[in-house]
Amino acid sequence: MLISIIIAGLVMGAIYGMVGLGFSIIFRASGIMNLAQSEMITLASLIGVTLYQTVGLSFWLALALTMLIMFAFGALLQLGIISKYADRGVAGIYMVLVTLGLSKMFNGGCELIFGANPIQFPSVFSVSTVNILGAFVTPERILSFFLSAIGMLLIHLFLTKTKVGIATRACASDAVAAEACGINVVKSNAVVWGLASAVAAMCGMMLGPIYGAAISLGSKVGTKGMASSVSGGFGNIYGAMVGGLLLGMVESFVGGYVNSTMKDMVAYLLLFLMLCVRPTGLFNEQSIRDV
Amino acid sequence: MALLEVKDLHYFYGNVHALKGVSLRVEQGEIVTLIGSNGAGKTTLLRTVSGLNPAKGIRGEVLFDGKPITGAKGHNVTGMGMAQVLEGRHIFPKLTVLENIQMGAYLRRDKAEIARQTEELFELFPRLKERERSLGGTLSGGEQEMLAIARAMISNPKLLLLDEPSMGLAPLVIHEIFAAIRKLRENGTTILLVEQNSKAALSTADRGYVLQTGEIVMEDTCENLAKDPEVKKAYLGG
Amino acid sequence: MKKLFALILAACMLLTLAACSGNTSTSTTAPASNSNSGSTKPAETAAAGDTNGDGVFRIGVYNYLSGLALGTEEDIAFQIALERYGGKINGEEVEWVIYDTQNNPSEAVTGVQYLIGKGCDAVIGSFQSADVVAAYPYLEDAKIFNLMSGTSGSIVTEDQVYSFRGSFNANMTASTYVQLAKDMGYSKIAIFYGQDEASVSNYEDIRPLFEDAGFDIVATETGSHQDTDYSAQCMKIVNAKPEIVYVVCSGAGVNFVKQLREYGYNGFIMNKDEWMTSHVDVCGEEFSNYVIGVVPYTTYKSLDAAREAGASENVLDFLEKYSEKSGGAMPTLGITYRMHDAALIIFEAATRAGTNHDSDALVAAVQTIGDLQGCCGTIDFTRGDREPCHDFTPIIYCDGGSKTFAKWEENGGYDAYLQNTGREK
Repeated sequence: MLISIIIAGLVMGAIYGMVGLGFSIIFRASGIMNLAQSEMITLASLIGVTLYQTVGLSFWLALALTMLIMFAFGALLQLGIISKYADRGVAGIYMVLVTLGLSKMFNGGCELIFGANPIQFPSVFSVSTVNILGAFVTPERILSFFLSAIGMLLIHLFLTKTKVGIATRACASDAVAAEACGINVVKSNAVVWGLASAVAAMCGMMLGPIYGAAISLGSKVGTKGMASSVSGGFGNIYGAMVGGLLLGMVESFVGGYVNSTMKDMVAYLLLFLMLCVRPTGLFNEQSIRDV
Repeated sequence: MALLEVKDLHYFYGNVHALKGVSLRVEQGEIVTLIGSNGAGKTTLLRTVSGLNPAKGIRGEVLFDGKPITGAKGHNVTGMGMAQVLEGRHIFPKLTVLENIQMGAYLRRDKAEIARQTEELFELFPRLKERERSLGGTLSGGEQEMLAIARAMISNPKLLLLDEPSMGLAPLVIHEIFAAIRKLRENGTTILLVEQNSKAALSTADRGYVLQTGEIVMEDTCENLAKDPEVKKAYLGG
Repeated sequence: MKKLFALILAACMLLTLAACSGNTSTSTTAPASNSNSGSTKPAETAAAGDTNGDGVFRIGVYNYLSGLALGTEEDIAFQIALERYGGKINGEEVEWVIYDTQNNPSEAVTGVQYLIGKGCDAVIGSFQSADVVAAYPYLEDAKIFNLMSGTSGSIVTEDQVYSFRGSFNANMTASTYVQLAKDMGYSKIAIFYGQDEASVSNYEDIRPLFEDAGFDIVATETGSHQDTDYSAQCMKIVNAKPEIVYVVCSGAGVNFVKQLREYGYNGFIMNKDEWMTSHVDVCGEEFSNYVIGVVPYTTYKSLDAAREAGASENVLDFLEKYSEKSGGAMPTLGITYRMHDAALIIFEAATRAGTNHDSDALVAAVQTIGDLQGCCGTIDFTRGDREPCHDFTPIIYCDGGSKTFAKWEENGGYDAYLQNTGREK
């Protein structure tokens, strides 16, 4: 059972890390806690299952297309709504409320378009389970793990090695200075939101095959993802990943050896503990300030 | 034709009338300085010219290299060849020295040339070379000013706007910075220098303007300005 | 200006509240036979319902119809039952009054009051036990003979006089499960139960039965039917290496079953609920294999499939008639069988009583029914337990369809199972 627990912990941990990454990217770049991120995941999974099942595209094509669509959606959201508030210098708490309102709208919109019942994702692979060292795992979960790992790596490379990526960090640091350097800050912010939405899209496409695309999908995982990123240090990219893995493993071990029903509580307990003991997170991210 | 021409420029922050009909010009190859006390509107003027202030408060005209740029966005103005070193430096604290400079070169694509010019800038500011991979936030005030200048220079600007480079720096460091500024002019960069340290400004620049509560009250060569009794009393400590 | 705006906003909110709280859709469907299109106001609760002699046998039905195909299916089922009595009961035409409870027990109460007000002679109640529990007291008060179509054990109570069950009692299946597992030679069992009330109560009933039968309960896990992640529970169950697993959870625990299979358990799963096509859609065919339910009847994709699966004579008979009336279609819901049996019981009771309008006579008559043949088998109310159904058949889902366990085993299913799963037994 130990192997099973470890694998489950790694898989879910990687997914939580990706979800947390989405939160962290936006917080890092625009200082906003985007509560609509969970609903972006839901929306992405529903779009994805429509492309995959109804339209009949291959899984990879559906994934790529969903990421593209969500990227555009996120960028437009930033350009059309978020920036309008941010430009007026709206204070932190009100921005959070704006994102909260958006999240409710997305949830309602999804329910209207896709219905309240979960839509089953058809299997991606022809094999239903794979035997690894005596533990049975679905190939979809293994895929999620690798997709997350690769995703995190790609984002890390983007943010540190590409000009556009470094520019997003510059804009987050000091928007006026960035503008003076010739960086189109408006475009850069849109890219950041687009990126976070594409990350949400990937999460949606990974979670869909495991749990089915439903309107409650995003919120369940979203809270845990946020817990991961806060544990790691809110806004810290690597913190989100480490926090995610930590949460995944602890959850898996608690579920396996202590009590299955206590599993969900773990995320909230961990969050509570971290906020009490070390609010800046494992990576000591000085992001806590008055909202 | 002047490189930079400002014609009867007004700026409004909401209802506050910060610039009241400022006119000035900067010719190719000169160092022009703008002196005045705190709150005179010096930074407002630079930011309005370089497009960092919101366009809706502008009245009047700004011409750069003969082309009107009034109300153009900051990143576009930088693209046209005007770089600015902001008041208070504003380097990127979480980016390394190299990454900071890389951001200054954002609009350029010629990697090899950028690398070569970076090396040149390091020769001008050897201390930056030592701290190549350090995070911007760990640099001293003087080093940050050097970095800000280097970041502006890497974009190969035709005109460099310097906003209070001496602010908060020790006299010895100020000396170093101004020596570097003179070197930049020798290499052909035109400079508009805004300074509260009027002594250093007037001894470095060719021509100067005195700005008082949003209006230009005096215009002359720096030699003459330095001898003027009013200027001496108000800005050079009698 | 702000005050005016706030006032307008408040007015809008009040209007919306008023509009929503009103009884919007009392959709009364129009079956092929006679029916009443309902008005929107619940009528006053009439006094006694046993002297309505306006020449029509008025049968009220309150049921959860919206969103399901049930409306159409139950209409056909009612017709089939009526035809067995020649289209009239005691010389009178049958008039159906249908009320949609919309999956809401308080709607059920409104519906029942409406039906009473309409002067119904008998009532057939919802397949949703929650609806029934809320509504039957009103029928008892109004002294109206009624049949309840839910399957929860708790809807039949000692204080009832006019209410009988028209479907089957799911709790009575417990001993059949235990016996089946025993007959198959198993001794190690794992149990998963949901946290909903019906599942918990079933678990509490069945656990001592397993223990008494000598089973070693190697793992017991629980979870909510609203959860999506059962990995911890599944891992623990798989780790305990059970020979067979018993699952009772709202919604057939479909997500749990899927994950249990994903974590590598490929043996038999005894599921308290019937394994329907909607469940197969979620789990997939492969994972649905070897799921066993103990129910009086299940649905089939076609008449041939029903025959192959070993469906009972009564069910086949019903399906043939259904197919004729519906132009070749099959019922998609097990509930349709319940509706047929409920109508059948009312007609038989009325025929025996010789009257359609005297509930006391109907009550006396129904308890004399000893071997009425319905979809659920032999309907027998003579045992005094107000239950019609006392024999249950294990049904296994395998190779794309449901089959009676006996028939499946006869056709070599067990050997195929051993081969496919590689299990020892």
